Amino acid sequence: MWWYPRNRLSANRPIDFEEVNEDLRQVVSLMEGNLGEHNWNLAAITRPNVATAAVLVVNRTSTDVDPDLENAGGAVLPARIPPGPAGSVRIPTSGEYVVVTGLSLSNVDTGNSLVWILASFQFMQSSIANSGGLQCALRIDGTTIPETVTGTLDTTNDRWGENMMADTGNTTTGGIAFVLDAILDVTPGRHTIEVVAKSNKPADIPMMLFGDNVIDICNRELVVIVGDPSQADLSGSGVSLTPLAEGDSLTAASLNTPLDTIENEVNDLDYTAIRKESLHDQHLASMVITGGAGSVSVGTAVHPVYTNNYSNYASTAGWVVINDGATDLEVIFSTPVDLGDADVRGILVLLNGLVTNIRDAGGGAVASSRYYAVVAIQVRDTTGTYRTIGRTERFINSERMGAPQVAPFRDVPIRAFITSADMGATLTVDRVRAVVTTANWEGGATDTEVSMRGCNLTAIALQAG
Amino acid sequence: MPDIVLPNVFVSGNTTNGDAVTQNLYDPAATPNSFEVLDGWLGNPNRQPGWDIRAQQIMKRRMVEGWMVGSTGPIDYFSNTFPTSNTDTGAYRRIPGCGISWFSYRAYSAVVLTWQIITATAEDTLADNIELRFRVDDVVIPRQFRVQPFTQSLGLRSRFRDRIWSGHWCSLEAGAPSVGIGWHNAWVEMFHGDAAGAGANTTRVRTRNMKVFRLR
Repeated sequence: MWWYPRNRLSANRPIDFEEVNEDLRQVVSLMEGNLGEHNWNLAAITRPNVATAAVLVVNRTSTDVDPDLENAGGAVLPARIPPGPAGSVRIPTSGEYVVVTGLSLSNVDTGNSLVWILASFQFMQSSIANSGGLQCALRIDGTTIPETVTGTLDTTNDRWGENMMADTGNTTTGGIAFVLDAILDVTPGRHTIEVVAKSNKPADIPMMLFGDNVIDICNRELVVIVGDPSQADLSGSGVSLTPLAEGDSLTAASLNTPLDTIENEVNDLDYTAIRKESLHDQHLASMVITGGAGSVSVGTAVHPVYTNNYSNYASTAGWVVINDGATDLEVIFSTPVDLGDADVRGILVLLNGLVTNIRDAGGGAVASSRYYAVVAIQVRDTTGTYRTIGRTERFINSERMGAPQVAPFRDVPIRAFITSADMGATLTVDRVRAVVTTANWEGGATDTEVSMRGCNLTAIALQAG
Repeated sequence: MPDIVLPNVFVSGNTTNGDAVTQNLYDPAATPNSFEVLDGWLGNPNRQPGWDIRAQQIMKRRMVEGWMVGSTGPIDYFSNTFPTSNTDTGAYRRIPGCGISWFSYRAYSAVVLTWQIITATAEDTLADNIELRFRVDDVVIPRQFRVQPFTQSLGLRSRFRDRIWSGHWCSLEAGAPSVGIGWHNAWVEMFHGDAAGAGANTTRVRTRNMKVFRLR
């Protein structure tokens, strides 16, 4: 609230103790927990003076899975089934949801908070027989969020139930990239947030060479950004002021002492001086440290074509930045982000791309599902060294819809939260970029072509707990 | 504002002056050097060192805002209800549930929109053009489009040709709509062409959600 002295003392009349006391009490009352939004200046508080976990808290978990397709030749036989790549999760085809290990956070503490849940993962399917696809969803506190469920798996009037399935027809490990996200208001308390997944086995297709379980979730990451989190209060000492009393002598000291006391308190406000929920965007700096976004595409029939070759997991070799012929798909930070700074929680990265074609360079004479586009996120430290974030590698395979291969037109969504653990000795990041490469495990020539359009990348460095 | 320094210190032996007391208490002309600093001039130097602003002191949904809208029912589209070309007037139709509107009371450092939409079709040639694209504030956003490929092979609907678009858009992109103070909207819209003109095949759209996340 505003304050204005109730009594105006002037030189033309004697000083009344009670009038002085009244005015001082008003000031003291303000400083004992009643300083509100009106009392603070615009842009009063800079970011370093906001507690790390005051506005945002990021909870995250991730699992790196090397699918080792380069050694398996992209094929499902003989080594990959069972049990699938190390660290992967096999989804049963019982039609019942299971929690995806590694995509679960059981200790998300919130106040009356806003949570943004982002799950990003690689789906891989290995079969030479017909199987069902993947259906997945986000779940919070045991309740599946219907607005995040993929497909239906309802085979009532559609044999495949509008599912998410890779073409695995010629002994191939097929790949699809998934992102699920949701924004919810939650009540105070501890929450469990997880990804659940299921598959089915269409009833009219009994034959499955390897049994029912042929669906793996590999590289994966779950990020839960809590806005307006809960944080414990601090204690404070308040203002200790002895009012002037009837009968006291009016001396210089009796006036100076309370004024000095309050002056010192105003210059040294403790935690309890500020009323709850009184500061806001007009007073506080943004928790966005820096950020940027970009997009590339070619709007004609001539797509950028990438013919590099995949090396091995998390390698920096073999990649090329997604580029439309003139512009790289990258975010260059105006100020490098120091992931070693305790206030800097990390960099939220969102990537989408449209894989239009995957085929061999000869024109795709062979109908095969064993050509791959591989997309990933790289960060560059301030020494100029790029690092491939292994868990963001996503494999998308070609489809056999005749020869040559037809355009798969698959969206490749990737979400990641980059932290200091993703870096080497240098923790300062100045660029984030999207890269692509190809793989050809069909045999023969290794000149696979991948074309992409409609790609966009966002990177936002956040102060958060 | 910097720390206050009260202008008047009373000295023993001098005559007491009420004006001087008042000047210490409230003197807008001398801000910050009176307790008038409490009327909207407090700043970081006035805080005691050793503690930072904490969550309990921050007004909810002023530093971070967002919400999600969605739907779960399927919507069937038939190509014979669309114009023949995607350049025709009204070629693209907004998809119910995959759109959001919001009012910004303030400017934001970043606005992120995300959405999830699933399509499945029985169309049988690539020429049956099924396209999704994205708009913000009525503006078609370049490079934000997806294609639902044809799915029929040998007369059967192929099982691996259904598609999901988990898209995102961020206001930080150069040239993006500013989405500053005022009303805004965003949505995904669809065109369903039919090369043969028969219009017999269905495209089923399952909208899941669209979300807006805003950071001060």
